[in-house]
Parts: sequence; structure tokens; C-alpha cells
Amino acid sequence: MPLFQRPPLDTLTSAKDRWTPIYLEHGRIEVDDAAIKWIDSKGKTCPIPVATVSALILGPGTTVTHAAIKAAAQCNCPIFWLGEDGLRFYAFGITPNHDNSMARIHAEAWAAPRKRNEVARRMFRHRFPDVPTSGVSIEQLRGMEGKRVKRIYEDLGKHYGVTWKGRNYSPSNWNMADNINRALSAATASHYALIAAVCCSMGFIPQLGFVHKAGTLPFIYDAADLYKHETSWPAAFEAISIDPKDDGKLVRKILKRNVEQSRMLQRAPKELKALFDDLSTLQEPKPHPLQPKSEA
Amino acid sequence: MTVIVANDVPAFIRGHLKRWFIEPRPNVFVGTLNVRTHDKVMQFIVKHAPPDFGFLSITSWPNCQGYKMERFGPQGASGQQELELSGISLIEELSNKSK
Repeated sequence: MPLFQRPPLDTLTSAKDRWTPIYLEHGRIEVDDAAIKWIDSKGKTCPIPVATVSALILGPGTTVTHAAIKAAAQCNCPIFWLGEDGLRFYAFGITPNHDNSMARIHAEAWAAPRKRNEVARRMFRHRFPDVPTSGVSIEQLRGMEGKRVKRIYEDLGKHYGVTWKGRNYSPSNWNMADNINRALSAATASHYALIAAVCCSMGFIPQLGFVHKAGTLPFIYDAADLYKHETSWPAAFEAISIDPKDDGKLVRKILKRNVEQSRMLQRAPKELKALFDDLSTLQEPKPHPLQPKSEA
Repeated sequence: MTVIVANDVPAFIRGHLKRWFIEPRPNVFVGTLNVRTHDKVMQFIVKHAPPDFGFLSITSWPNCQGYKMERFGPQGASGQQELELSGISLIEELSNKSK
């Protein structure tokens, strides 16, 4: 009997039914009796039901054994590495997916400029359903989005009574950022881990983004943007309104609650799939009068 | 559904519990109570139990786990403790040393 026998694929929980991710720091992940075991710095040990958790997020000071990675991969549970206090999103390990059907649909949509623009527009409409987007280019969408996002931040600041001076993201100097910006980064990093878990388990290609282009995970950023205004942003503002000195613990707790309340995990797989529906039957769009033909 | 795992149940509390629950194994109780009844029953049991009576109640709940775990009264002799990681309830395992 091998140390950890691969569980049958149909016994693994699908992304939508999984628990929210677990954040761990200062400790070690091992395999014990064919289960994954977490041992923290004080020697507390706790088995983690890895076939049911959507992701394991590893903070600083964590060690993980080869056997544990194998066990997690076989259970389709991705592992993410986040920075101090969960503030930065460093890396993640893709679990080998058994199906490439979604990747092919994704690549096809990405490779044809017209389909790519349509997916980007659908992503935009997902957040701002009332704004007309037909014939608008991706660049124009980005501008429209920026303006609306700024307004959401300001509204959240007012609603939770948190001073908001604008998003200030400086990865080289965390201590300079104000509390709310740190909280936002913490919430967003965890949110990325969760969305990446969903996208990867469905077989999307993280490298092929529609609205985002740069970096290695533009599709993750695209997908995360669909839900940030419901989950991570309010979580950050609420946490700071309760405890201005929060180190990320409260942010993640509220984020978990928001994810549950918005049913994001249940909705995301269906909604992400819907972005790619019926792209081949796409009608020739009416170009916007101000838009060059090449971008339509 | 509610599952109660009690440390050690005095006879009269067992009788009380059995009004709402079945006892498939000693000190384990299973029942289906709605949220309000659940809270009232727990309060009732705690009020009438001796101070050293402790139990763990696991109840269906609309969170990502599908249940919530609450402890009433003191920790059991098994030494196993509840642990919360990122808002998810887990159970701490005993190492060989502390056994």
C-alpha cells in the first residue's frame, strides 16, 4: 500500500463546493497517516482535509515536504505562497488538471481579437451591467473601469468611515503604505489565491488575460476583478473601521464571510464559463464612431 | 442536523438530551433542530448541567463548511481542542508526547 493512495477523481470536491482557503504561517506541512498535517511553531498539530479545502495559503516561515505537495496535488488542492501578513502574492503551484477542454476554449477566445474584446466587454458588463459597451475597445474599457473603481473606493471609505486618500501600492515599501492600503493588499492577495484556485481547478490558463495583459497571471487578475467589489474591498474597509492596526487576520476573516455571503465560490465557476459561451456565433459589432476599424 | 459529543453525560442530563436527540453511541447525540430551538436547547442544557459537564455541538450552518462547531463547558479528557484557521473550524491533533 503506497503512503498516499491517489483518491478517485470523482470523490474530489469540485471548486464550487470547497471551503474557503486556509492561511498558515510559521510551521510545517507534512504527510502523516496518508493525511496532510499542519504543525505550527508551538507544536500544535492539526490535520487538514485537503480534498475539501479550496487552497492552502502558505505565509512566511512555512516548510512543506515533498510528500505533502504530492498529496495536495492528488487532491486537486493548489498551494499558494503569500508574503508577510498575507500582504503579497508570490507564487502558486498548479495542480495537474486532468482535462484541457477549458484551456482550449480559453486559448481560442484569446487568440481571435474580436472574441478577446467580447470577453473583455463581458467581464466589464459583469461588474457594471448598466453601462453600454458595444464596440468599445479594451483600452477604452480600462479607462471606464478606472473611473468607476475610484468611485467605489470613495463610497466604501465614506460608508465605513475610513479616510481614503487613494490606492497607494508600493511593493518595495510596505511600511510606508497607510493602514487601509495594507489591508486592501492583504485582502486582495488572499482573494487572488482563492480565484486562482478556482481558475486553475477549472483548467483556465492563468497567463492569457483579457483585460489585463502584463505579468504572469493576467487571467487571475481579470477573474479576481469580477468579485473584488463584493468581497475583498469591503472586507479591507470593514476590518480597518473595526481595528485600524489589523495585521491581516481580521481582514481574512471578514473576507471569508463576504465570500460566503456573496456565494462567490458557487457562482464563479458558472460565471467564468459563461464568459466564453457562444463566442463563435458572435455578430459583427457596430463600430463605435470614434474607434479605428482595426480594434473592433 | 446537530451532533453533540459530550465528555461524560450524567444520567439526568442524558434524559433531557434524549427528548430532542437519539443516542446512537454512548455520549454521542444526533438530532434535527431548527436554529432557534437549537440555541434554546443548548442554553437549557448548560443551565441545568453540573459545572464540569462539557460538550461539543456540531450543527449544520450556511457557511462554507456547512456546519459550525461550538463548545459548551470545559474541555473533555481527550485533550482534543478546536482550532480556527482563517475562520475555518478544525480539530487539533494530539502529538504522541502529550498523550
